[in-house]
This record gives sequence, structure tokens and C-alpha cells, in this order.
Amino acid sequence: MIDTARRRPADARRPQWHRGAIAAVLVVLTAAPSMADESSLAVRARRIHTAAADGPAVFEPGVLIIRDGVIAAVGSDLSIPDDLPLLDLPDSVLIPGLVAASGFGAPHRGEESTGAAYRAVDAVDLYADATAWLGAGITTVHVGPGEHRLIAGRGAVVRLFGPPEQRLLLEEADLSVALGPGAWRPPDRVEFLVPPASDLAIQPPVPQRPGSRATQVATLKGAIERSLAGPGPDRVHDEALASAWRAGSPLRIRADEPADVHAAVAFLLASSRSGYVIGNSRVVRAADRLAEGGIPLVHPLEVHLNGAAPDLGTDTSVVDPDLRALAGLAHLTLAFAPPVDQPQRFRLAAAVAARSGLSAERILAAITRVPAEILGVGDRVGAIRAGMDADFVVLTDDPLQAVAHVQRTYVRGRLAWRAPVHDTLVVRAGTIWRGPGSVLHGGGVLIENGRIVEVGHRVAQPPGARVIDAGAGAFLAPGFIDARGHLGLRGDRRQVGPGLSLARLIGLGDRPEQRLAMAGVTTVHVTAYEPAAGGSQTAIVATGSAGRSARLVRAPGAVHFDLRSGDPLDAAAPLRTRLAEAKRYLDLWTKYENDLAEWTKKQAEGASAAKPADAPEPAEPVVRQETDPITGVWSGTMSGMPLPEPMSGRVSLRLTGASFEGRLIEPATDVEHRIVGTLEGDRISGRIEIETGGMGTPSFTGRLTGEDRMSGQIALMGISIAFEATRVEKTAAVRVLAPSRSRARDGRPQPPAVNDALEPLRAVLQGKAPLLVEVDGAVQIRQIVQTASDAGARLVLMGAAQAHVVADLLKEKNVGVILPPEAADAAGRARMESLGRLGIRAAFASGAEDGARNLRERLLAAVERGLSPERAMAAATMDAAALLGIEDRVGRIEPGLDADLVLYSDHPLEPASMVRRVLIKGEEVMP
Amino acid sequence: MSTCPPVAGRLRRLALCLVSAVLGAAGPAWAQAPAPPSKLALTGARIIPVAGDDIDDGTILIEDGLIVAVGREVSIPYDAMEVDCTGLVLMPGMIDPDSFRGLDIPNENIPVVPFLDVYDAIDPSRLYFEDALRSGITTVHVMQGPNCAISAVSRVVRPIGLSVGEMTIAPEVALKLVTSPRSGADRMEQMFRLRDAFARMRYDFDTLAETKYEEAQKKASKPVDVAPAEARRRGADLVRETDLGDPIRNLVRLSRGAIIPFFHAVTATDLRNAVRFAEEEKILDRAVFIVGTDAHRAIAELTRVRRPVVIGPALVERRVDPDTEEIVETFLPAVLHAAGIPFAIRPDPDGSLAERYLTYQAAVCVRGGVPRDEALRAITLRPAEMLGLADRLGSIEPGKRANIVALTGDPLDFSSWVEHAWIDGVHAYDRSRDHRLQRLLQAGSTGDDESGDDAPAAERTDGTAGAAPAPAAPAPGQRPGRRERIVE
Repeated sequence: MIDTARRRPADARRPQWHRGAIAAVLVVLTAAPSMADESSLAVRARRIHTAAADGPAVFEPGVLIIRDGVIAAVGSDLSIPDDLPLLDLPDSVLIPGLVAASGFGAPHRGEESTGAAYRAVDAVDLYADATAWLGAGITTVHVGPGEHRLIAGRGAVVRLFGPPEQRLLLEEADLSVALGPGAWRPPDRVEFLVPPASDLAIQPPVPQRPGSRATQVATLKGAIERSLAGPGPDRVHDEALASAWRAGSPLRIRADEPADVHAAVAFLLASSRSGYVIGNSRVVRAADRLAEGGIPLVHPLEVHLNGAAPDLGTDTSVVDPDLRALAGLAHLTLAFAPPVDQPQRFRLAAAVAARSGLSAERILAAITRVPAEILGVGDRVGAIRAGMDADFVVLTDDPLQAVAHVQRTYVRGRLAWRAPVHDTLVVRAGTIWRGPGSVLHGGGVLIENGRIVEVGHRVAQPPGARVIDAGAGAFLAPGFIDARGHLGLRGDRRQVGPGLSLARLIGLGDRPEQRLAMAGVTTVHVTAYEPAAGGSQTAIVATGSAGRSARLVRAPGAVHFDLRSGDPLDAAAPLRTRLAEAKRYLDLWTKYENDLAEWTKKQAEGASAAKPADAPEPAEPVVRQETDPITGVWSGTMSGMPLPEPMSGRVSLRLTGASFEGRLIEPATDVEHRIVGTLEGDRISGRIEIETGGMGTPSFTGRLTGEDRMSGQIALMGISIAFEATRVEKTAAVRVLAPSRSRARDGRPQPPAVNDALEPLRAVLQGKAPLLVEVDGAVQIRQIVQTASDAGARLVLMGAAQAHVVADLLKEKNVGVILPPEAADAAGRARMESLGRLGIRAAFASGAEDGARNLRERLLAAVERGLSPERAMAAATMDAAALLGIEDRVGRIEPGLDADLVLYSDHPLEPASMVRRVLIKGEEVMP
Repeated sequence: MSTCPPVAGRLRRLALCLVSAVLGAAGPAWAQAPAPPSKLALTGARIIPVAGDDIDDGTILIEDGLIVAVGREVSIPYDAMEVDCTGLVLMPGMIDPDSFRGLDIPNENIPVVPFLDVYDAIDPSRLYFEDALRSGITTVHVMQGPNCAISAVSRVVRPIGLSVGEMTIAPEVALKLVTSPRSGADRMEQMFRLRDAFARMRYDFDTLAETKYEEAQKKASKPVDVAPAEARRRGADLVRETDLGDPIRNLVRLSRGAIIPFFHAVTATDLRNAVRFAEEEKILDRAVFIVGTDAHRAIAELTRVRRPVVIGPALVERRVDPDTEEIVETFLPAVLHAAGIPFAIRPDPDGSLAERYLTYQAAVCVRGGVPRDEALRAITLRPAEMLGLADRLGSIEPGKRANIVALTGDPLDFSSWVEHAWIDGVHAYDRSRDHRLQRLLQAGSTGDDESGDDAPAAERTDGTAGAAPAPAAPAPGQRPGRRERIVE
């Protein structure tokens, strides 16, 4: 009811009465007598423990139909009526709301030893927020008037949620009697004379009975007989006792020792009253007497979780009450009550009681149905069956599992409590493939904030954690990695320059990403269709996630070269040039970092001598212009057969690495064009990208004939035109700034200028990203492996048709191979076998966008060709991650890694196995 | 806490009677100044009658302490004393619906004391009465505090007069029945005490009725030939109030509707228990519930029974959500208004400065969404209705007692103050002659407020209550003990 007033932002802490007024109106409206919000709904759960005395104990799966707060039907295969909202809890277990038959209510402060008129219901706060108990799954409690008097009064049975009238189950449920030392020697009674008068003496205090065990039952009988005879001086108490006795109110007898139990049983049988006994660990010894007499026992459970007890004495039952005596008494009506000191541990304490040999069914009944029956509300609460009130608890696991916890509590079909939402998830499956050679049969994975925290047979289930229970048949594996794909490029086949990060192309996951995820591929190494001559960056992305940045696993993923069409005798030449440049760039940074470290150290040492104020004004920074053989403006002439006379013009070129780009400056043109070429030694070659109307693309070859001079031919459709050019400007595009004094005012070294094109290669040289080279022939592979090895770069080969020829070298240098999509020919088979046999790391690449969905089929094909399923799984997961250097993020199911998990109906390399659910960084991908 | 022994109370009552008999010849002490004119006309003021629309430039004609005419066009008799109230705002004198502060001891230490009367404990010299007048309260319902299950019978008084008798407007008005737990008694025991007291009352009454019937039969020389139950029924009508013994008299009158049950029920649970008890004992039709801010939880219960409630001084419930630690605030008057429950507001004389003023409390209600006229009623007419005095008090209407307060501005403007108050036509308060206040204001303005010579205001010993406290002789060395009670 108050919920309406509660939905206020946490920062709105100042009085806002207008809102208060609105809330007030809402309160009034919701409290209007109509109370039309009695709930009707359908609930579907993994399992429903009914705790019912007859009928099935468990429905699996379970469906619960609730109408107007009352259970209309429960079963396994009920059809869900169209008019009811469905609460689908496929991973949860339902049990009836727990019933606490004892432990609630404070003793009244009255002095009367036989005070039947004290009503516990008067003290119950029917408006209270019982969150703590509802969160423990307790929905119904007995509230007592105390156990400190022979007749303490009358108890009540109340629910813990809902409007007051609905909470009251029984206002006068019983007559509360206490046998044992707790009720002996009640305080003496003093009668005040009202109004006082001076001529009347004040009477001395009158002692009350019982004083001992010997008199307690006699006093009880006496009180009852006296009240039945007619009201005495304690008018109200006597009337209450007489009416309770005549109405047949059950006697709730607190017993302290076996002797009290015997007395209670004898009294109940002799007076043929209904009643039950509230026991303790000592009373358990007399449980057989209760079983004989057919009198129920409510046994308060004990847990010892409050730190070390200083001295538990010699009574061993204090530590471990022997409930085995109870387990043996099949006819004893047994209910458990919550531990006195920790009522919230009711369910856990009951679970521990299973040690005694009591069956799980009996224990569940002892905290639900049986206490409800004993308290006289068994027709309304305590079991899940048609006709009962819809008071139930949603658990993450079976009720007697320690890891289970309460997710939701419903009272009369209304949500009374809900676990605070945590970013915590537990996935349980019959088989968990953690990584190559490591399989867990029956277990779970705990995920927090998108990362795997724990893997094992039994993992923690923090309260509030969501649970996905996939069942015993399910197979949980890490998501597959597409070692080279083009996801997200959307068919854009343009070359990607070395300076452009592919990570910029990543958007929020869309349909293609989703399709890929649902095919079990959770990570894609995105590369350009065609790398630039100077190497293109790649990016490693997840196929789904909450946000754009969260999708990125790493950028740059690698630096990607295609060296298949180079000089077959020196395939590694462009790579070498590029790596040399990168090395120089890296050296600048290394120097800077060393300088900075030294400077920082000096600062830390308190370099007071080098006060900034004393330092001379820094000199004008000198711009060192680094020139290269190409960059600049070239002025030239073209002459040759089709041209009537020589044409002259100017082009601007810019060299980056080994490739250059440029455009025509004179004669000025609006036509879209681009000059693209590479420089190898003094040879230039390339093409002029221009729309020629179907005549093809002009290409050119030539050489630098001296400093700032070049000559060559331009070819188009078999026609060749000679050109000659000289460089007229060198500075135009050369902007390598290197301040001569790399120190600022305070002497702090200044970082070198960032070169976007060389940054990824710096990462390569630092070992942060691998070098990805497309190459085929064995000779070329050798050259490239050597070059990479010299530069200290981690190498991954792609394609590598003859990899098996140089397998030993690859193995020695720890070079992995990404296998392209291929035909099922003999060579492919040989390669697969050898790679498998030699233990070279291999990964599978789709070379496609969302076509990567067939990755699993490719694995199946590889298996068919002789790769072991285990190695195939490894290739698609851990090995792919290792090749790309992301084994600390994905590829296995281990703590610390991203929770990229795929649930299959069977082993993924069983052709019939289906993908059931996919999690990426702990977020479920919804198909 | 000590109790005033009722015996001593009786003696004191006797003594007071004697004193007032002697003094009575000389007329009321507060009227030792020239006797008030029998006809008085308050003219030129804006009048907020509470019952009806506001009147600008209106006139109130008072004759012999009663209002005889209100309006714009009131002809003023030639012999009436005319008071020009131009620029002032006249409203009914405010009513404090439940105050123990006029008592020398607010509570008893035995749980059930309906045989006591606050008459014995009202101290006319309490500074509270003077303060009440200063803030515009012209009627006070003096009840005991909530420390008994059933407390002494209450009394409605004016804050002026030398003796309790002189102050009294209505004696033996209400009994306070407490369902909230108090020190030493939980809810179970409180409810038991209430049931026990009523059960004993019924038993004693039945016994008395039976005796009365038998006596009547004997007198008429008829035999007693009916069953005891029938004898009790027949005898019930023969029991006169004078026959009732002290222990049960007020309870019997309560069940007969002659005394109003004021239930003290702080929390929603207490309120629910109180409503149930009132229904069980069939005393709901006159019941009033003094509630705390938690009462909004039991609004369904209140809506069902539609009985008036007394709220305040706190009007807002603040509750911290155990899960989110958000503070949830509920403004009780708005909840009550939305549910159509009439309510009166208690001031808090010991609380923060603002909450001492009922006008401030009413203004807070308006701010929280209660209409202005309802907020004004909550401090005037509503408490009069609850006390069964709406025919005499609570509004400016012909026929009602001339309890009128003149403010310098709108009552809901916190910068307005009370300039004059008339009680039964007597000019009971004049700010310009409020020497205690004037001295304090003066001291504040000269910065001379810490010296001892401005401190006469602590306690008056002359027993005069009322309008114009005479400047007492300077008492060197005496600290201005109550000073902070009246400055702003």
C-alpha cells in the first residue's frame, strides 16, 4: 500500500509535500474498501514442491494458476488461461510460504499467573513492514502472548503481508500455557485500592502459584475449574479462560523438560482437549510420548552461527540436538519452528536437520504444511494445492539446498518481497566444457558484472543472484571465436588505411551480430577485406553486449598484411620496411618513456637544484622535417603514342610506409580519382583509380631515377604512355615534428607526436598485438617467420596453404595458423591432419560477415577430416584466443574471463546439438 | 513522578471553593479593571468567520459576551463601545484540542483513574495559559497525558481567570483512553486494562441496578419475581448518576454518551485497536482519536468509521525504506483531507518556535495540499465540534461566544501576530499591554537582554491569569527563565 509513496528518487530528501499529498491521495485510493487488486496470475516454474499431504509432492515443470489470491489449480501440464498474466520462472523452484509456529511475539508485562484475557493479537502490528521475514520466505507466523506465565493468554496467527484484515488468520488461535521453570514463581500481586482512602489499609502483596513443577498442573486445572464456575475477582481473565475452554480452543503448551511433556500429554488426554507441545532440545527425549498420545510437537530449530560460544557446557544436545529420535517416530506430527535467535535462518536450519535422517519431504512439510495444520490454518496456508491461499516462495534451488535463496515471496498472489537485483548470475548445466581437457560434470558458473567468478560443482549463489538452470542434459561451452571475419563491414571492400581503427566501425549489436551470437559465435576478429600495403589494423569484438564500448574486446586486434602477391623471392620486404619504421617510432617512445621515468624519479628525489625558475628560457623549437623520396608535389610531363603533344601537370603524393597515395593538382579536375602506389626500393608501381567508363584502371610502373626525379609508364588497355617528373616541393606533406628541446618549462620530457599509422605496429613490437600475415608458399612463410622473429613480433599466419611443409619451423617459433574456408580436398585433409598431429595452434576463420554462423559446421567438417573433436573445440575457442592474444579475456570458462557462454542441448560437435541460450559478458542474448 | 493524592486534591478543591466564594463577591480578578462594556462593536476589519465567506470591512457586534451580529451592514447601537479594527484581521479564537500543560502534574502512576478530575490539577497560574493567549488560543481542552490506560476526566477552560471554576467553559468533557504502549505496559496490557475497566464497570453497574430494582420493588411492596438478568435490565433505568460510585461514574457516563472518549492511539496499530475497542464498547459515535503521523497506514480504518482525529504537533511522517534507505515522507493532513476525515491540530508549546503557533500548523497544512478553509477549521471549529461545543465556540457567528482574535495580517502568514484577543467579549489580550512581551522585545532591540534587570517574567506569584500581565518588580539575579518561550 505504501509502495506508491515509496517510489521517490534517492536524492529527493527534502520535504516535498506536494508529492506527499499526491502520495497521500494514492494511499487513500489504494486503501479504498474495494481492494480490487486481489491478484490473479499464472506461474510457471522449473519445479513446484507442493508439501501437500496427498497428491504429488513435486510437479516438474510446475504450473500454478491463481485467481483472486487463491490457488485455482496446480500441475505439470496445465494450459495457461489467456486472461491471466504469466510469470515465467523457468529456473526457479516454488515452495509454500514457510509457517513459523513459534518464536514471534513479546511476553506481555502483566503480572497475573493465569491471564487468559491477554491477547497477542492486540500487540501485533498489522501494518508492519515484515521485509526481513518475507525475505526469509516466512509468510505466516504464530504470535504468542509470551511463555512466562502458566496461562499467558491467547495467541494469534497472522500473515506478514497485505491489508490488516487479510493478515489476520486467527485472532484467538489458542490458549497459551507454559509448563516449566519459566512460568514458576510469578510476581506477587499488589491490589491498589481505587480510589485510595485513608481509612483502608493497603493490603500486602499476594503470592501467586505455581511455585514448582509439583503445583503447575494443579494450578492450571484449578484456574480452569474456577473460571468455569463463574467469574471471580479476575473477572476478565476468568471470562476469557472459560470462553476459550468452552470454545475448545487448542492448548498450546510450552514444555521445558520431558517431565513437562508427560504432564502435558496426560492433561490433554485426560481433559480430551486438542493441543500441541512447543519443545526444545531436551523435550526431544520425550517425543515418543507425544507420538503415542497423538499430540503434535513444534520443535524450535537451533543454529549456531553467532560466533564462538564461550562455553557450551556438558549438555551435548545444545550443540547437536539429536533429532534422530524424531526421525524414528514416523507417527509423530512434527513441525519445526525458526531458530529462536535467528528466525531468518529458518530454511537453512531445517535443511541442516536433514542430517538426522528425516526425509526431505518430511522436513519441508515440517516448515510449511504441518505447522499450518497445528495452528489451525491448514485449510488456508502451508501447501500448494487448489483452494489454498496463494502464499508461496520462489527459490533459486530446491528448498533444502544451502545455496538456494529466496528470489520472491508471494502472499495471496501478490508480490510481497523481491530480492534486490544484483548483477550476479549463476548458470548451471550438466556438462561444463571449461577448456581443452577440462570437463566438469554437473556444476555451475558464477558470473558477476559480466565476468566469471567461480566455476565448480557447487558455486556460491549470492542472495539476489539470478539463476539459469539448464538441466542435466545441457552442455555449457565457451563461445566460439571467429579468427578472421568481416562482421560489421557491411560489404565495404575498400582498403583500410593503416591509421584507421576498425574499432570505429563497431556499432551497437544488430541483427547480424545477434544471428552470429545465436549460432554460438561470441567473438569475431574483424579484419578488412583487403589490407593496405602498409598493413591495416584489425579489431576484436564481441557479437553482443550492452553498449558499443563494451563490445570491443581489443583494438588493434592485430596488424594485417597481405603478402601473397609480393616478390616471391623476398616476400617479407614490405613487412621489413614497415617494421623498421615502426622500430624507429617505437624507439622515440621508448626514449621518451625512459626520460620520463628518469625525470619522475628525479622529481621524487626532490630535485630542488633544477628549479624551473632557474632554467633558461627554452629555445625556439626546431622542426625537423624528415623527408622521404616520394612525398611532395611532382611536376611532370606525359608523352607517347596516343597523345598528340606532351601534356604537363602536377600531382601531389604522400608516402606512408611503403605505399603512397596522391591526386592530380594541375590541371584541376572535378573527377573523382586517386593515385595509389607502392614504393619498393627505387621501383614504384600502382594504379590510378578513376572512372574510365569500362576501359579498366590505368596502372603505372616506374622508378626513381635520382633524387626528386622519377620516370615510368602509364598503361591502359595496352596503350602505354611515358612520364617523367621532378619533385618541386618536398615540405608539403612532411610533418614529422621533433622538438629539439624535448623538455617543457619544468623539464618534463615531451612525448613524441602520435603517428596513427604506426601506433598499431608499435603495439605489435611491444607484443600487445600479433602480426597477421596472409601468405601461402613455404618459402615465403620461412622468410616472414624470420622477419617477424627478428623484429620480436608475434606472428599469426593466415591461409598458409603449405604450412604443413614448414610445420617444424612454425612449431619452433610458436607461430599459429588461421585456417581459411577451404574445399574438402586432399591437401586440406593433409594439412588438417598434420596440424593436428604436430600440435600447431590453429584457429578457424569464416572470412565472412554473418556467414560466420557456419563456424560450427566447419568444425564438424574438420572433425570429419581427421581433427579430433577436442582439438577442433580448442581451435574454435582457447587456441583462437591464444593466437590473437586474448586468452586472458575469452576462450575458456575460468574465473576472471568474460562470461561468454553458450548453452547447447548436447556436445557442440554432435551434429544434432542445438544452441539453447547464449550469454555475452553475462548478458543473455535474446533471439 | 509523584501523584497528587486525591485526598489532598479534595482538600484543595474545598479550599479553592472557599477562596472563590470570598473573592466572588468582588467579581473576577481579571476584570478588576473597569467592567467590560455590555455592548461592543469591532469595526473595519477583515473578518474570517470560518463558518462562511470572509468579510472585508466588516463589523462584529457583541452583547453580553455573545456575538449578536456579523457583517458589512451591521448597525451599531448608540451605547455600544466601538473598537476600530481597521487593518486587522479578526478570526475565531483558536482551540487547543488536547493539552496537559495547564496541569501541575500531567500524569498519574496507576493505570486506570477515571474517578479523578483535572479540576484538581489545573493551575491557573501556569505560564502556559498566558502563552496560549499570546498565540491566539482562547480555549484549551485540558486532559491528562497519555501515561494511564484511562486518565482523569477532562475540562475545557479559557486561559483567563483566577480559579479553575472561573476558567471553566465545560466540565467533565472527556476521558482519555490510551491504546498505545506506555512505559511499563505493552499493547496487550493496555488493551487488557481497558477491557478490564469496562467489564468491572458493567459488573458494578449491574449489581447496582439489581439492588435498585429490588429496593424499588420493596418500596412498592412488590415481590422480586424476575430473574437477576431481568432485574438488572429493569433496574438500569432506576440508576441515577448520583447513585454511581466514584470508580465507575465517569465510565458509565462515557458509555451513556455524556462523556467523550478521546482515544490516544499513536501508531496505526494502536488506532486500529482503539477503533475495535470503541466498536466493542459501542462508544464509537462520539469517539475522537488522537493519532500520530503513522495513522495514515490505518486510513482505511478511519475512512470506515469516519470519526474525527486530533493530529500534531508533527504532521509529516518520515520513514526510511529498509531496502533502499530512501526517506519516504507522508503528509498526514493531506491524507486525512483526501479521505474526508475531519481533523484538529495540536500545537507544541515545548517544541520549535513555529510549531507553537496553530496558525503556522494550519499554514503548513495549506502548503501540503489541504484547502485553506479546512486548515482554518482544523484550529477553530473542528476541535469545538469534537468537544461538543460547536454551538458556542469555533466560529464567528451570531449566538456564539465572543472569542475573537485580532491579527495584524492573514492568519496563515507567519509574519502576522496576535494584536488583541477578546474572550466572551472581554478584552483579554492587548499586545501593547503585554508587559512581559514588551520588555523582551525592548530588551532585544536595545541589546540589553542579558542583564538581570529585564528578568521579571519567570513565574508570577500573584495568581492572576490573563490579559495584561502586570510588570512584576525586578528580581535582581533572577534569570529570565521563560524568556525564550515568547520571543521570536
